[in-house]
Order: sequence, then structure tokens, then C-alpha cells
Amino acid sequence: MNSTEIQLARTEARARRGKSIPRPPLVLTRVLLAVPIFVLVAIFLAWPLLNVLLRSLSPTGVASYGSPSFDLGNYGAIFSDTVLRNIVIHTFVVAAWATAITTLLAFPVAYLLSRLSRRLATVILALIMIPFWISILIRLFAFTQLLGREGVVNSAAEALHLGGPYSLLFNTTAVVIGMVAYLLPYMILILYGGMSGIDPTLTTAAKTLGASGRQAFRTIYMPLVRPALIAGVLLIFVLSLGFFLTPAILGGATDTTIPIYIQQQVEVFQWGKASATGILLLAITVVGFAFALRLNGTGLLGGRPTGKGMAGREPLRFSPSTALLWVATGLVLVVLLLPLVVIVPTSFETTQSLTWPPRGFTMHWYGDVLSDEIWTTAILKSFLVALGTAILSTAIALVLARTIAAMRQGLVRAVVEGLVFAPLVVPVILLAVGIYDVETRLNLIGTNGGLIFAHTMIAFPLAYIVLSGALANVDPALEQAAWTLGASRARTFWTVVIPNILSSLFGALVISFVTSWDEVVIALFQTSIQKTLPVTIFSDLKSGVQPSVAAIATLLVAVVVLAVAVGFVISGRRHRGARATAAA
Amino acid sequence: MELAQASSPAALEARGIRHEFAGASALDDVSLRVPRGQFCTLLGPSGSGKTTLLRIFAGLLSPTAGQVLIDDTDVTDTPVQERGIGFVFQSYALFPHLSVAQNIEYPLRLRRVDKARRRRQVADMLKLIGLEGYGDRRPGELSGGQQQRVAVGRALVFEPEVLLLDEPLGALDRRLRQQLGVQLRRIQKETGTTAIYVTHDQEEAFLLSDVVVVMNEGRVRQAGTQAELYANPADLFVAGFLGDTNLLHGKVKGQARDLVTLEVCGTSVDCRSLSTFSAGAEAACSIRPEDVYALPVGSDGPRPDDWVPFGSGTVEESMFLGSRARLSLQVRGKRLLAETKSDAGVEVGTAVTVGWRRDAPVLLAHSHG
Repeated sequence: MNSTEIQLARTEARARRGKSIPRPPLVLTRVLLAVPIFVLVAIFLAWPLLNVLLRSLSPTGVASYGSPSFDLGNYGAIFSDTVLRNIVIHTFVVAAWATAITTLLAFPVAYLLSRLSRRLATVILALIMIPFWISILIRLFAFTQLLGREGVVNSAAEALHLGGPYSLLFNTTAVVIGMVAYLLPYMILILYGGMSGIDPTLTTAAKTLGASGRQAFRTIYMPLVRPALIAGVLLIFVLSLGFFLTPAILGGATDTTIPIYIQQQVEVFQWGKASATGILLLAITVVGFAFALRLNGTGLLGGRPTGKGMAGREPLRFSPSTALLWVATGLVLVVLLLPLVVIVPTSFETTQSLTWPPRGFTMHWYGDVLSDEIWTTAILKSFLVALGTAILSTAIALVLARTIAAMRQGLVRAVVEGLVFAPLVVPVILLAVGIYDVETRLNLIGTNGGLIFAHTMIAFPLAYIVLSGALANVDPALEQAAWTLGASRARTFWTVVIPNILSSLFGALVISFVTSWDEVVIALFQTSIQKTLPVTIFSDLKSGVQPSVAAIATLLVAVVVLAVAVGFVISGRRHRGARATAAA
Repeated sequence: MELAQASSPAALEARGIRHEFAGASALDDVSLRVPRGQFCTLLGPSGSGKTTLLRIFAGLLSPTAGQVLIDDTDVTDTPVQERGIGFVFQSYALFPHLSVAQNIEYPLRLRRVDKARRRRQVADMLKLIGLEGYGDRRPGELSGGQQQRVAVGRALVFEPEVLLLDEPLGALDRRLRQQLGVQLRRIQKETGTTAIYVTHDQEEAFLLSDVVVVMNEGRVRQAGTQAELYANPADLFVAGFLGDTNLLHGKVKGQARDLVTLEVCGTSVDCRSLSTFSAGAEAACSIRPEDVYALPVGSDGPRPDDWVPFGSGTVEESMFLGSRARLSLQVRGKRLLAETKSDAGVEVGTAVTVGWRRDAPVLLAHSHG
């Protein structure tokens, strides 16, 4: 650099300075980007819920905007109608059983994890998280293979001369088992988050003061873990109330729960009582979530362990009581992972009806699946919808994450962020019937676009969790540095911000893709003729299992494993947690 | 606050800058002129408004009132991108997805400099900052000191008129700070850039600057060369912030031109003063420890010709500082710091006569505390 050059450059710079090019104000750009999102959320989230609310208040179950009625008769029926009252009671009883068993199993596992070395805990947690990545439908299918009359459990019992066959499938027991298997990872994560932050020297200190082991546990440890425990129990319970697929597939004729009731009623266009029950379910869920969040912070939504890993600093020594902890952990891993292992051999089975152990070996069912037009069109439709959902959700999440990050900390920001997470709180069955209602009015039902919009409502909050976390990790000084170097805001965004969140952007795409690819309940109402893949599987499961389902299930697991593997390689990060809140 | 005659060209000027944040005043009527090619340090404790002022210069913040001028052009409403200033962030803000060379090249690309010239300028800059051969590394692979130099290089490569630096050495250890500070000064001189440097470290400010601007509570307290500020602090804050000092509080007895007589602890102390004080007013004077002499009673010790005695007392503590020793004295019911040669043999408990050179005490305005 010589000095004449410097002087020349500076003269040029002087000439440029002060001549400002007019540009649209920043606020205007933000508003222009936010408006379409607002409209989408209003149409596909707020309106459906409003519609259900209006229908619940009408004696005929019709949502009329001209002359809205205000009649609480449908709500009264929840308590006076014997059939409905029994359904509500049954739903609560099943949820209570599932919550109790889940908590009892999760507590020792979480405790063990919190006291293990970091590396070992990470490995076991990774195993516990695997089911999050596998479609709920496939996991339920696996349970039919495990619990059926000729399933794994009964075959094992027979081989060991333990009697049987036991009827383990299509009854309330099966429903509770399925629910526990679904809920365990959530509960373990929440408890682990609370427990890993508890300093183990505290109980040691109590013992030096004269407390027995039991006293130290009861007076020191339990009070510290209580907020996480109560939050977890609340969350698990409200999630249990909203289960649709598990009772629909594993339950018997008498296992009608609130969500199944809603679906059955809406299918025959009886909206009144179904809407009222739905609104009741929503109200209980919102209250439960609110208390859980208050107790345990927003970390619950991200599903990430919030602890600082303090508890792991003093690893547990082996003793008879720790052996019990290991037994509990082993049992939980079996419940979570065995179903996934069972599917694969089933898909190579030669007989028409599924038996265990599988007889013979054939690729026949794979050939069937890949040549049958029902399956191929379903796969194509699912792929297109998932792709559209992934792109739309990620775009929405990116705009929202940027806009919210630019807002000042305070009430407004808290409310907006709360609204972003709202779709995760609403029971899926309620969203499904509400969106079905609205899209029927808009003539969108049955179209790929309509399904993309509907799936986007449940996928964008997950993408938001990933992207807002990533954006928070980008030092604001990076952007400011680019500005001082002369980059426009837009250019800074594309050349500095985007490259630094690229991996998370990909993660957000994968999460929203998988969310749509696996989704059944919303799609069930959207697709009467041209079905998505999960809906096709669901229909097959309802009408009697065929080995082709096992083949397709194996293929689906393979796709998810592949997508996740690619995601891991590219992002090198873990977004499992965000998926934890996907629809039940 | 004038740092030079109004006629000399100013690279950067602030006129009556005010800044309010959430109703609280962060900057209160700050005016400043920095002549071209100077290295100017904004020195102050955290919360003094120095970083806010720097961000207003850069255009990263808009002032509530007042004007910013670069090269006598009003840039108050010019967006940051068009101000043509270089900014070095405390965290360096190096782009982690770009290599060192790409980081430095970034502003040149934005300015559509052709490839050959770009390459030459980046190579020149790497040489200037002493990082030849590091161009292909990622910022994450460099040490803190190296990252700091890349940040400076990136901010200077497009030859900005003004370089703004926000505590750029704050994250480094003391030895490295001095080393890099000297290097920074060399680079600034070689490129002839005007530099505004924010720090809370008085040592750093003294080491680097042509002029130092002391700020506190959103105001400029005093501006001048290091020597001026040290010898003639304008108020209690400046006197206390720039090194250790002894403060003597008292009442003004009288004034004879630039010499004010202050009544302290039952005796009179003559102080230099540029402003006028009325008799009876509360005031304080500052005397640097190195100007205070403690002579063992009975010895005539080495003492200056213009020696003024203050009183007799005892040595309460002695702190070894290498060639010098710092003494804590008890005189006339006051604690005073003094310095002596460490081999002068003044032990704890020694009875001493305490005094100073005639021109050592400086009167401070009492109100600015």
C-alpha cells in the first residue's frame, strides 16, 4: 500500500460519503415479511380453533358467524350423557395409569443418567432418543407384532412354558404399554434436566450432619428435584389425554378416548358434543402446560436437558441399589428399542399372516410395495407434501426467529414467542378437525397445498426452536462488523448470517420434513381418496395387518435413519430435542 | 472539548451529542474534535459512555441529539455502511466461516475491487499485521492475539479515514496487550489513519495515545496529552482515575494569581490552579505519591531545592515495588502515599518529616466528584 493510493481511495470515499441512497425502512421490510405469516397462522391455526369453539357453543354444532349462538348444552352433555361421561372418565384413568408407570420407570433411569460419567450418559441418552426419530405409527405397528397372540411376547412365554397365550393386544393394557413407551423419553429428559443440576455433595453434606441415606434423599434430594418432577408429571398427563393413534391401533372396541370420540363424531358430522369435548381437552392441556412451564422454565419446549451436569462430577459407585437402577434402565431400553428391532425380520416373512418367529425369507413384500400403485402414489404424495412443508416451515421459522430476535426483551416479545409455540400445545386431534373444517370451507381439502399448510402449522415451531437457537449463537457483532465494512443489511444477511447457520438451516428442513412425512392425524382428515403414506399404513393397520406394512415400515425407518445420518454429518449438532415435541 | 485549534482539519467531530437509553441519559452533551492522523483514546470506567460514543461515531447507534462529522461532512444520518470507517470489535467479530484472507478480502469484494488488486492488498495487509502465511487459516485456528491483528487488518484494508477500536486488547493477557498495543500504534502511524480507541485501562491509554479523553457518567471530563492530564487533572475524578494520588480536602484561604492557598489539617498548602476560587469555598488538591518525600527525622535526606514541609509522621506500611518502594504515612491525622528508593532504608515505624516540591499540589474543582 503506498500513500498516494491511500490518499486516492480516501478522496473517492469522501466523495461517496454523505450521498445516501434512499431505501425502504427496516421496519417496513420486517412488516412485509411478517404479514403473510400472520395471515397463514390466522387461517390455518386461529380460525380452525375459533370454528371449533363456535361449534361447541351451538346446539346444532354449526359454526355460524352471522348469528353466533351461545349455548352451553354441549358442555353439560359431557357430564350428563352417560356414554360421553364414561369416555371422559376412561381417558383420564388411562392417562393416570400411563403417567404413573412412566414416572416410576423414568425416575431411576434419569437418576442413574445424572450420576454417570458424561460420556456414558450421552450414549444411553442417544439410545433413549432413537424412538423420537421413528414414526409413531411404525412403533405402534411394532407393538402389534410384539403383543399379538402369535407375537414375540407370547411366543417367548410359550417357549419358556410360562402358559398363555395371553391377550395383550387390543385392550387397555396394550394402550397403556404403548403410551408408556411413547412418553418415557420425554419424562427421562425432563427429570434428567432437573437432576443433572443437583450437586451430589449436598446429600453428602447432609450425611456428615447425621442424616441417614434415606433421610438425606427425602429431605435434601427430593425437594430439589420436585419442580422437575411435578412439571414432568403434568406434561406427561396432558400429553396422555391427547393420544389418538395409540388407543386407535392398540386399543379394543371399548377403548374409546376423547380424541377417538372426536374423530368418530366429526366423521359423521356430529360436531356439537365433539367440539365441546375438544375445547375441554384444550383447556386442560393449556393449564397443564402453563403450570409445567412455570415450574420448569421454557427448557421443556426445547426438550433439552437444562442441567449443568454438576451431578455427573461424582460418579456413582456400584452397589446393590445401583444395580436396581441399571435393571430399570435396561428394562426401559428394551421397551423402547425392542419394537424397532422386531419390524425388520417381519418384513421378510413368507406367510400372509404375521407370525413370530417369521417363517421363511422373501423379498416379495418389498417388491409388492414398490410396484403397487397404492403405495407408490402414497409415497410420492407424502414426499411432495413433506418437501413443501419443510421449505415453508423453515422459511417461516427463519423470518420469525429473525424478527423475534430483533425485538426488545419484555412482555410483547414473551407473548409473541409464546404464540409461536402454541401449535405444539394444542392437541393434534383438535387441530386436525379444526383445519379439516376450515379447509372444507376454502375448498382446499384433499389438495397437496392444503395439507402442506396444515402440516406447516405443527412443523414451523420445531424449525423455529432449531433456528432461534442457532441465530442466538451468531454474535451480533458479526453483522455489525459486516456493516462497518460496507455490506448492506441484505448482503450481510446472505453472506454472514446464513453461512453461519447453514447447518441448523438444514436441521430445520430435516425436522419439518420428517414431521410431515410421519404425520397421520391431520392427514387422516385431509385425504379421503389420495392418501399419504402414513394414512395408508394406518388404514392397513386398522383393517388387518399385512406383511407389506412391515416392508414399508422398514423402508420408512431406513429413510429416517438416512435423513438423520445425513443431518448429523452435515450439521454435526443434535436437534433431537426439538423433535421431542412432535405430535403424538 | 478542543484537542487542537479549530482551524486544523478534523477527521472526526462530535457536536453536542446526547444519547438516551430507555429514558436514562448515556451521553450528555459530548463535543469532541479529533485531528487527522491522531491516535485518540476514550478512557473511562465501564458505564462512562465511551463505547456508546464510539458506536455513535460508527453509525451503529443513532444519537438522540447532536451531530457527527467525518471530514467536515455531516454523517449523522448516513447509514453505517456508507460512513467508510473501520471498526475493531472487542470480540473481533471475525467471520468464522471465512479464512483469514477471505475475512480481510471481504470489504474489498464489497467495493468491487478487481481480483488482482484484491489479492495484492490482502497480501500487503497480511504482511503489515505480521501474519504472512496465515491467510488460509480459519479464525478459530488462531490465537487471541493473532485474531486481534486480523480484525485490525480487516478494518484497515479498505483504507478508511477513521479507525474505531472498542477495547480490542481487553481479552488478552497483560504482556501481549503491551506488545500488540505497540504494534497497533506502528500500523496506525504507517497508514496515517485517525484512530479512536476505547479502553478502561489507563496504562494502555498512556502507552498508545496522542491524546486522551477521560469520560465519566456520559460526559467528557478532560482531554489532553497524557502528561497534561497526569500533571494537571481538572477534577477529582480525573485525578483519581489516572494513577494513584493523595487528595487533601480543605477550605480556600486566598488566591494570588494562579496560586491558591488551601487550609488543610490546620496548616496551609499552596496549590496551582487555573481557575479562580472565592475564599471560604470547599476545595481539594491532588499530590502524586512520587512527589511526596518522607525523610527520616534528623536526616537531611535527598530532597529537592523547592521543598515545602507538611508535617511529621510515621511510616505505617511499606510495599516493595522493585527499584522503588511505596510508603503509607500517617501525618496530621491523614494517610498519605509516598514513594522512595527501595534502598533508602525507610522502615515501617520510622518517624519521618513529610513534604513535597512546591509545584506538586494541584487544586481540583470540588464539585466534580
